[in-house]
Amino acid sequence: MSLFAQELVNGIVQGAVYVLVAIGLSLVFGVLKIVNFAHGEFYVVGGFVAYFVTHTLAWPYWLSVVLALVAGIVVGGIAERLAIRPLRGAPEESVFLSTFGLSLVLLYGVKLLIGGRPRPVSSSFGHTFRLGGIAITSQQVFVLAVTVVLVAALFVTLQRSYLGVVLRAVAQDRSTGALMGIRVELVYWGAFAVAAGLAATAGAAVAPMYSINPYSGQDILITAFIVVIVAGLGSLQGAVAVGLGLGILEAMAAGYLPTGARQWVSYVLVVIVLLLRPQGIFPERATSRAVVA
Amino acid sequence: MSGLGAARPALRTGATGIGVAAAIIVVGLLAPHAFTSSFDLELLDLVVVYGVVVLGLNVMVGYLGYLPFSQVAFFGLGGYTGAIVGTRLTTNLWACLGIAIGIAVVVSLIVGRLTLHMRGLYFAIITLALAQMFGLVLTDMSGLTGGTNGIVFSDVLRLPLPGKTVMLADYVTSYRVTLVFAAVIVVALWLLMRSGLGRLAVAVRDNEALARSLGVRTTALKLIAFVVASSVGAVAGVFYFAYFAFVSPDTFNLQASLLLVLMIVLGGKGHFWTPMIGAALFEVVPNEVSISDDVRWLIFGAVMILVVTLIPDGLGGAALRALHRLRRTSGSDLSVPVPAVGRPVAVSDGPATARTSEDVALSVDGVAKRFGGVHALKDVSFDVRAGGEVLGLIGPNGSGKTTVFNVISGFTKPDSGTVKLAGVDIVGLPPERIAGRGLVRTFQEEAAFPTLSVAECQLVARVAGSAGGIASMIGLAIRERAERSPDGRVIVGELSHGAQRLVAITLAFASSPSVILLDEPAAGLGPDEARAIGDMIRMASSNEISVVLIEHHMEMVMEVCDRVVVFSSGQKIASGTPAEVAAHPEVVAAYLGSFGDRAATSTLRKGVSA
Repeated sequence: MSLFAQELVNGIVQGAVYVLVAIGLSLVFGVLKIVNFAHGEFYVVGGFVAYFVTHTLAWPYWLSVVLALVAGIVVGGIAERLAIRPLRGAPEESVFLSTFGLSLVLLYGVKLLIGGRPRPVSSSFGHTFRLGGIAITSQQVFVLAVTVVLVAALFVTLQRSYLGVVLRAVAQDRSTGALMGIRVELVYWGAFAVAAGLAATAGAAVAPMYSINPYSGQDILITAFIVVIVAGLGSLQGAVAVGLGLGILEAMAAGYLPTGARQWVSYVLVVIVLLLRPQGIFPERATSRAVVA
Repeated sequence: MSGLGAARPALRTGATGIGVAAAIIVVGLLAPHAFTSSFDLELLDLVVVYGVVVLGLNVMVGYLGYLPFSQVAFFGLGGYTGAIVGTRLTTNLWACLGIAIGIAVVVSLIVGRLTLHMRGLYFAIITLALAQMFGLVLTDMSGLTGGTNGIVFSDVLRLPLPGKTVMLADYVTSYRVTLVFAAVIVVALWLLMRSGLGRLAVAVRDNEALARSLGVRTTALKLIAFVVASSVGAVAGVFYFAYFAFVSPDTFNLQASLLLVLMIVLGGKGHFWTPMIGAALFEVVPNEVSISDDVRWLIFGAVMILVVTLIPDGLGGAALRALHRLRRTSGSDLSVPVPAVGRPVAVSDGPATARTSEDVALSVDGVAKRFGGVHALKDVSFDVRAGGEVLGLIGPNGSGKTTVFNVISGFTKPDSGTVKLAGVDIVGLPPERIAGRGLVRTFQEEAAFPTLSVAECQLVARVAGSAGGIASMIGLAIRERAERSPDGRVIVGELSHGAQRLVAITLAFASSPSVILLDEPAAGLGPDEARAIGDMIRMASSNEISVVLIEHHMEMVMEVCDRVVVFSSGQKIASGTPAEVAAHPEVVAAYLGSFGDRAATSTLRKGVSA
């Protein structure tokens, strides 16, 4: 029983990371109608910022997470300008291909800066809580707290604020939004940058647990793709539910199944969904109604 | 994913293509004599192998408009199959090839069945996940695949031929064998794409629904294209292994997958041969320039963004465009194969009820359809007589007219009721089968196949039947445009809105149907174009094609229809001759709404008297 509880906790924490990355992917799809292949690289950028701030500058870890959010937004904003905006109105695959290029530029840019070796990040959260037979590190609590705060802030913004209404309006009908005086380009830019910021924060939040290497962005990207595919592209609630669920399933596989089974979980999930919903994993509703939140 | 069609495959590459290919092969066979280093030979071999991989992949990307990331996995499947068969079963190259192709066909059939119904980016992402899964298989099933170390082959492959057996003992021999096989595969692929498969694939990319409703069996077509692309990838994999005698997961990972896409994008996806340019550039240039792998990939990424943004049809596409422009200005003599232009024959004036027999061509009986809580159709029944009856369907927006068309043509399955075509129930048949039985339709908004030429469109339509003289009607619509076009290729997407609509309708006629459904053919057209469509409907009728017409253009309905059925809120509320229907008080109320607009009423009346 305590193994179960322990894996549940580990799974929720892992799932929270998936949620932070996948929700941005889904947001960008919902608003800009593009699939961002470079999204995982923002996660790496976040980890890199955590390493740079704590190791090179020797500033406190919590500050590095805040700076990772900022850096993600800035890098995301620049990337949108250079690789996405010039292709506005171009076919969706052209934009998809451009985000490939962006992903390579970011990945190898980071690699040239810090090298290919994994870089450890030391955190100020060293404490381990014990509840019965379960061990929870303060780092895990921190990851969860960051996720809850950011996801809640995103949902509240989307649903309750003027900004959120504007964003949803543009997501649903770009032209009418523009006719109503919304500065669509600004909305696109903002959504892309915020999504990048979320992924970067995730990267910094888990950096002390996994240590950072430039290739980790591709792994998390594939997982995030699987999450949004199963959830339905553009559905933020779906991304939260599936992200957490996948994290928990993977933790259970790690706890109860033979070594190596964990990395199969997400692929098995894809195949199951493919087989059970042969008419299409993506119901028209989820794709055409690209309403986020 | 229609956007991949921004550039169009050159479907008419002529004998020059064969000549160039033959020259390349001769030079390629002699090339090893010119090299002093084995490194150069290796690069050349890689160009050939990756060239084959990307030409196969371009069947999906350039023609069909799908982006399968699985190509690298089939490439790997071929390489590993060759290695495993070679080390464990036999060193006969034919056996390696046969088994690799067999496995690739089976796997691609299964994967294709599961994924090809998804469009665009979803298909791309799913195949990406599956390719990653293949990588996991390679590293996890280490008993068979050697895990991360891969498989080193220390034996010698042999290729038994009549008369003698070629031993692939050295690099030069392996390279030459690879080159000859590559040439055969590529030429076969080229012939296949020229043989109509390429044109049909482009039609599916441009407008899948229309292709289906014209009788193109799109599901089978996409599956064939996927199996062909994947098998070509697998064969290339076997030859990769044959040259290097080594395979490892690193050759077939995500980066490699990106590289294949990069090659196609850089070379140009819009033509059959141009991806090879990308393969050559990506294999040769970075290896001849001494920079680190990391910098190389960084530059690849930047190049990708620049090419996609600045030259979407790739270097090859841009070069061909430049060449074309050069020829045009020098006023070279290009033959102009414009379809025969002529006045249509036998246009009768007004409805000719006498022609229509009492035989029923199409009968809709008790059809009902709900979408969630909405009754889109409630117990709808009507008949269309054979031999050229023109039946109008009118009613307010949202009254269920288009849903009826969707049910009849097989795009929507009704909850209950039957649809009989010449007495046979067609409910549950897919659109392409229904088209094959002689019922075709057009769509409200869409034009035909925007990146095909008009002549190619007609060939697509003829898949379902033989084209009659009606197709020459199209000549009227495009005549002016054709005269201005330098090579006589009139691209549908470049025609005016009205002409595009005429092309779409003509396509429907070209398949010689017994019944044709026209969904608002005159919407958004000017009076002249609307009149042309009215003429076409009369002509269809006089050629014994029965027509069901949805139209808001009342004058046209009143002029060309023999009978009219009126819909309101998913129900048939009246039917009869145009005059009877126009006089029906309930119709006037339902059709015109509660406003009881006098002007509109008079339009109804005027239409009758006209």
